[in-house]
Amino acid sequence: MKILLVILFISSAWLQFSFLTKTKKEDRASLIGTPIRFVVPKGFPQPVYQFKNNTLTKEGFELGRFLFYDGKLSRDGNFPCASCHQQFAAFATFEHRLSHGYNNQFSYRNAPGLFNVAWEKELHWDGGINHIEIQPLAPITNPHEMAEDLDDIIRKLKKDSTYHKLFKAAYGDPGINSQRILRALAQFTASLVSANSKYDRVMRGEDSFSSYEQPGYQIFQQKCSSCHREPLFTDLSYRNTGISVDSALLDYGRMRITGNKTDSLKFKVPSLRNVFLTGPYGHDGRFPTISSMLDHYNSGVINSLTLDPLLKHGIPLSNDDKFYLIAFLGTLTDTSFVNDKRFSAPESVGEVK
Amino acid sequence: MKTFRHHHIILLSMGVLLLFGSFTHKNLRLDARNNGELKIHFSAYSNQSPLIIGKTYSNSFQEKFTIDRFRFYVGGIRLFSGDAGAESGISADDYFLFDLADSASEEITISSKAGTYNGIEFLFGVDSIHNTGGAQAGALDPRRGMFWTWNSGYVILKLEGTSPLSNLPGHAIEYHVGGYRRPNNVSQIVSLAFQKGKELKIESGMKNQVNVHVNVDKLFNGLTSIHINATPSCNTPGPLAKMIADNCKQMFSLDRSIETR
Ligand code: HEC
Ligand code: HEC
Repeated sequence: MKILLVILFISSAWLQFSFLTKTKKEDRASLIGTPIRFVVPKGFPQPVYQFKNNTLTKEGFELGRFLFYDGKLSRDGNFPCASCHQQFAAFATFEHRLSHGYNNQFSYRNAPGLFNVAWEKELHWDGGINHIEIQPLAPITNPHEMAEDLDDIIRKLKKDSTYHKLFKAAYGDPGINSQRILRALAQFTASLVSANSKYDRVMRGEDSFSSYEQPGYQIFQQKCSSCHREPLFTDLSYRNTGISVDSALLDYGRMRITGNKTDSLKFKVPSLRNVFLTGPYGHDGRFPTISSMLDHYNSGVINSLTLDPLLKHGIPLSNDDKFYLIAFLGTLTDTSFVNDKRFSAPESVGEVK
Repeated sequence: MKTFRHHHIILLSMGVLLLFGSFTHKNLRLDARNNGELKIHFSAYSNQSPLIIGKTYSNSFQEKFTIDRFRFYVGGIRLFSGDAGAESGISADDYFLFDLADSASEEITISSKAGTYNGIEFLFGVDSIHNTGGAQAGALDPRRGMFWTWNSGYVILKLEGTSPLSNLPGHAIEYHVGGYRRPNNVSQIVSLAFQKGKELKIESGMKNQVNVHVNVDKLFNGLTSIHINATPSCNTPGPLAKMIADNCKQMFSLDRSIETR
């Protein structure tokens, strides 16, 4: 009896499945190739991006990596994603308040590091981007950044025999369309996981904090972690930290997206992982160093209607506090991440150009 | 032993459910043989004058304007009937982009179950699942230029052109209507009923055509009056976009005739 039931179950499931495969034509857009398992680091929540309809594969990731490093995605060839997102700076722009873009222009904001992006429901400092797959459309079409459009990119990629091979390997046929490009890029950006800093090793019991780092961690937990929440070091909320509005940029942050006055000057809490590598700091890079950022919390907070209640009196920090805090923040640098060859420029990217 | 039985019951019910599922799917497919073809033809007008790119029209407030671009999204088309259950539709995933510059985009062909229908319903816009679901293809391909990149989401309607009354550079008018977040979700269901006695009868193998009249004047002269001289543009989600979308919902009406061949 039981066997019969199992057969009934399996055969009907098969019927169902065969029907679905026949009708869902767009499934042909999905990836073939060698699946890669996305590993959620111990202690991390489940990521927001689940690679739905975009099964993570070796070939899909590889295509995404090529695209990320390829100037063809920009109008004049000079501004690949990687021009603003540099691996040695944890994929932020090294030592630039704003990043260089097309025709001697600058980006509107400071380029954040790219890691653990798969956990972000909304992207960019104002959360204006609602999905990791469509994020690239923003820099690609921005006239100050890559200044390009999708039709042009598709045209350029179609002429390139390397992409013929890469798309074929990833999708089974060499067809190129925007969905394939965007999903492959998401395979790459979502795979940028940073969870192997000294802090992580300490949490796993494999290492211990120094006598400076330990008190720094305690101060951090008391004064910072309500917003920069572990283990991502951000709670992904939008907050006004009492920063004045830049008179040239006139950037009111989250309000630009929601249109609500109550969101004026609120910006997404940035992760502090790899913070030693991602300076300068703040949404427009106005803080050149971490200590200038701490000075802001201590004495620079400007009161306004939307100032975060936690910061009504700033965050009093003694010089010792600052010293210890900075020592602790140093434990968030993940050298294995910035040296990870999987995320580096592909050897033949020069050829592809 | 008890758990054993439970297993049986669970397996049996899952099996039956799945089997049932596959049969109902099958039925739909078999039914395809009894289907008729329905063409839905959208034609744009400014009141009674057919809309042509570059031609000048006057809206109900006697404001002159010329159109360079007119596009909008339609999705989830379905026919409905008075009898419960007798309805027919296409997958809610299927979207169409009407583009005044592309006559091929004016016509949508669907296959419909045989039956008598009282009206037609569709989503004017793009539902929130497709607004937030990542990279889309087909009509929703961001290549179509109907996607806001810095504040993610689809522009469900674009009307661009010029008007001497606009105070924007080049006297441009530019209505980009979009936004999926409540309370300013612009997309909405449009429901159009056939006249009594003139229901749509679909028989297998027959071809029918329904003509939908799209009157751009309603964008200005709808629930709320939108005057070009005061409001020559809309470029972000928000209350204005919502207001214009509520006006635009009234653009659609059924042409008297249902053609059957
Ligand atoms: C000209 C510099 C520049 C280029 C080129 C560029 N970016 Fe960025 N990127 C930025 C800036 C600046 C931001 C922050 C934007 C904002 O918050 O408004 C950003 C933000 C991001 C984010 C969001 C991170 C977060 O945590 O919110 C991702 C993901 C990203 N970029 C990926 C890419 C990809 C993929 C490409 C190539 C298709 C790319 N970028 C090209 C400058 C650049
Ligand atoms: C009320 C929430 C909140 C608290 C508490 C808070 N931060 Fe922040 N932090 C933010 C926000 C929001 C930003 C982005 C500010 C901006 O650019 O407008 C930020 C930015 C930063 C940056 C810059 C990071 C970058 O990549 O640009 C550093 C460093 C930082 N905070 C450290 C700390 C430390 C250390 C503490 C504790 C002493 C702390 N923060 C407490 C919300 C908070």
